[in-house]
Order: sequence, then C-alpha cells, then structure tokens
Amino acid sequence: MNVEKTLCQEALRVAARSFRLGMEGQASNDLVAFVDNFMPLLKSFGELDVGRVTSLLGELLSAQSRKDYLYVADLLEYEIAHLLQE
Amino acid sequence: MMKKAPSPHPVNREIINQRWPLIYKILAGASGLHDVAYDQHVPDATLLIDGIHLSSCYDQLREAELQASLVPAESSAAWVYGVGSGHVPRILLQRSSLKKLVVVIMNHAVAWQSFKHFDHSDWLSDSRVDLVLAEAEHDMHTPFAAIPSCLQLASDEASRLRDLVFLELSTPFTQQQHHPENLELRQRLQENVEFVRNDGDVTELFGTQENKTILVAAAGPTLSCHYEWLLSQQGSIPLIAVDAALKPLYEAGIQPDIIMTIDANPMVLDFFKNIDLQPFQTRPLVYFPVVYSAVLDSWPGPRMTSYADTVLYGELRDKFPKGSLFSSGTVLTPAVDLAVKMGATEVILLGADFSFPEGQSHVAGFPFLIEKESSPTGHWVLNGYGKRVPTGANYRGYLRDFERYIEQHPKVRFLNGSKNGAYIQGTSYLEDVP
Repeated sequence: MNVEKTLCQEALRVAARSFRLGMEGQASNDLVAFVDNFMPLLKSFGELDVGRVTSLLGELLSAQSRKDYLYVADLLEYEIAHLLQE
Repeated sequence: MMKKAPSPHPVNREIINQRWPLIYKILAGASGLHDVAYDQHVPDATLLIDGIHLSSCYDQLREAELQASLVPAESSAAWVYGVGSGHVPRILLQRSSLKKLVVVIMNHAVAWQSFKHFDHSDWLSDSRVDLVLAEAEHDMHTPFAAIPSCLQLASDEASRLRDLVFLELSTPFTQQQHHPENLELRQRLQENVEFVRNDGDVTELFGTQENKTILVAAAGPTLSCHYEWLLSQQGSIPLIAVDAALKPLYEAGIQPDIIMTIDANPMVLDFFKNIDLQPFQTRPLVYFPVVYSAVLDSWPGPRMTSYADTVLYGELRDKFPKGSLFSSGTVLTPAVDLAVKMGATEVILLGADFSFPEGQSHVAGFPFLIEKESSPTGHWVLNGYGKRVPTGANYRGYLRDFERYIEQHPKVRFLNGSKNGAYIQGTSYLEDVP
C-alpha cells in the first residue's frame, strides 16, 4: 500500500506542476495518470473520507472544465494530498 | 466568504501613471469582467475572476518560483505573459543576470484588478522592467514565463498571443508524442516498410500545377456550405481533401483529386469505410508512413509516401529517400503544403474552421461527429466576424502554427471559404474577393 501511495503522491505532484505551468496537454495526461493511481487506493479510505474524496474530485473536474488550472493544482497539492497523508 | 474590491492600490497607480501613462489610461478605463471577488479566507488571499483563480490560494510564492523556473538561470532578458499576483516578475528580478524584463498584459481589466488588490510597486519601479499590452506584441518571445490564469482570461485582442504562448508551453509534450521512441509509432512504421519501399513519392506531384489555384477541403462544419459550388466546378480546379473530409464529400457526390492521410489514429480507419472507393482508382492517396496499414491496403488508386520533417522518419527516410510535407499536427497543413509544392499560387481553404461553429465538431457525415457547446466558455478563438467561437486546445495550436506557415509563404494567396470558422491570419475571404 505504501508503494502505491507514494506512486500516487508522485503522480499528483507531477500533474499539479503541469497545471501551474499551463502545459495543458501534459496536464490532462498527468491528471489521468494520477486518477489511475488514485482509484485503487479508494478502498482503503473510510466512509467519511470517501465522501470527501468524491466531493473533491467533483470540484477538481469542475475546475478543470472551466480551465481554472491553478485551482486544480491547489486541490491536488493541498486538499487531495492532505487526504493521502492521513 | 468573498469580499468586494477595495480602492486601487495608490502606489501601483502612481508608478504606472508615471512610467507608462498611456497604459495607465487604458487600464483605468478597462471593463468587461463579469464577476470579480477577492477571497481573503484562504491561506494566501487571491482574486477569483470569472471563475478563474488568479493565483494559488495556498502558496503563491512557491507557485511563482515554479513558473519563473521556465526562464533559464543565466538569461539576460525575459518575458512574462500575464501579471498574476506579481510574484513572477518579482522573483525573476532577484536575478542579477537579468537586464531586461518585459511584462505583457493579457487583459486590461484583469491587470487593473490585480494592481488594485496586490502591491506590485517593487517590480513596477525596477528600471529593468517594461510593461506592454499584448495587442502591441506581434509575436511571442523567449525565454518566457507565463501565468496560466492570465492566459485563460486573455481578451479578444490578446487571443492570438495567448495561443502562441500555450502552443510553446505544449511543445515538449507534443514532441514527446511524436518521438521515435514512441512504441506505437515504431510499430506503425515497421508495418508499413513494404508500402514505403514500393509506393510512389509525393515529389511526383510537385510542380504539376504551377501558378494555378488549388482547393483544399478540411472536415470542419462549414465544408458543407460549399458543396453546391464544388459540384458545379468539379474537374476544373484540383481538389485536395483531408482523410476526414473524404466520406462527407463522397456522400455529397464530390470526388477529390488527391486525398491526404497522416495520423496513426485508429479512428482514421473509419474515414475509409462504407465508401465505394472504386472511383478513386486513378486518384492518389498521399500518406505519412505512421498510418494504419489497413488504410493503405484499402486504397484502390496510386499511393504516394511523404515524410514530415521530424526525427521520427529519419531512419526510414535514409533507407527510402522521398519528399516531405510540412506538418504541425493537423492533416490540413500537409494538404496545404502539398498544394503549395504542386505550384499553386492561390489556395482556397474550405471547412478549415479550427473551431466548432454552430456547436458542431465536424461537417455532417464525419463518422465521429460530436455536438459541442455552442457558447465559448472554455477554449475559444475569434471567427471572421470578430466573435468568439468555441474550439479545442489542440485546434487553437494548429491554427497558430498554420498562420506561421502562411506568413512564410507570402507569394501564395490563401483564401478562406467561410467567416463562421476561426479567423486565419494571412487569409482573405472568398466572398470578399471580386
């Protein structure tokens, strides 16, 4: 699990970096890679955390859709990363 | 949660007025934003403008350090696209090697809001700084750093520059997609070696239409507006069609003279299905050797290989030297380059929309037609009427690359068939030509 978590945290950092730099294509690709790493970890979250994750992912997709890239990066690096650390 | 904007930051105002009085006047009179809020209830207060955060809500300095890192350490000059919260110019100016910093304003009203809410006085008063408006910049400069929020909020006047900056930012990713180490592309090349060995060479077509007009059909929604005209003059002006336009044209009873296909995308297979290809027995298919071999197999007429000027084709080109066409991601550009290399001095573009007019991704009859949002809330470009029309990030990049291509061919007249698609700099409109 620790290895999976580390890989997921790394994918998250990489995606956040691309969004902050405005590298759109790279960022979309990196976000998909992060989600691929993140989904298998969902089963390790408690019921309460799954609710938070769902809400955060919804917020993240909404931000990506309106091209609010710096907020996408914030959600990844500060909100979702925080959940992963818990 | 949100707080209304306080009065303008007096020091910023004073410096701008003193150093750039004309810009000050323009900024002070700027409008056009719908929703501006200053969010102080986050770890790092920032502006939220029309749904876009101007900078990080958590750590703006760290964010700006990353953005500034795109400028190499020893650079003596740099450009910053967007003002943001002011941290990127501030960080860059800490470098003693930097002698000149140009900060480009991508939207007057956004910049003015930032000057109202954040203290920019330190970098604004630095003698190395020049503040300019995007509309005064003909092209983008390197090395540069960019504030993504400011690009996203760019005004109509700054939209071309915005796209050029996004294009530059996406270059490493695009190159990686077309790198010779890409296993899928290598497989396509491997499968097509015998075709390349035995097929014709695109150079056979070069110079065959000196000083003539050539039509180039792309698969944008406006292509269908020209069917009647195309039918009426069929056979008199050569027509090159991109692969995606083949089926829609065929269904309208129009047979292009040359078909161009370049993509290693399995979707392309469907462009050639459910069509009786027998009438094309004498019409060449020009291809890049990364296409699926089934496409080449299905073509009943002559096939002609072309390369693009990329390292991907280096090995194959050495073994089987053949001609090259300019390519920048979209099949339209090599189709147009073919027309130019055939000798055309006038190229008429049909369905070259680079956007989604009327909320359609492609012309009717395209196998993967998608209904798109008809309002330009996400990516957009200006159409021939100066109105925003929705588009995709990749189309925007293709458009700006294509405009550069046009700029490099001043002896060729490029005419665009429709004003409903993206305005293509360097073209005139067919309807405006006497």
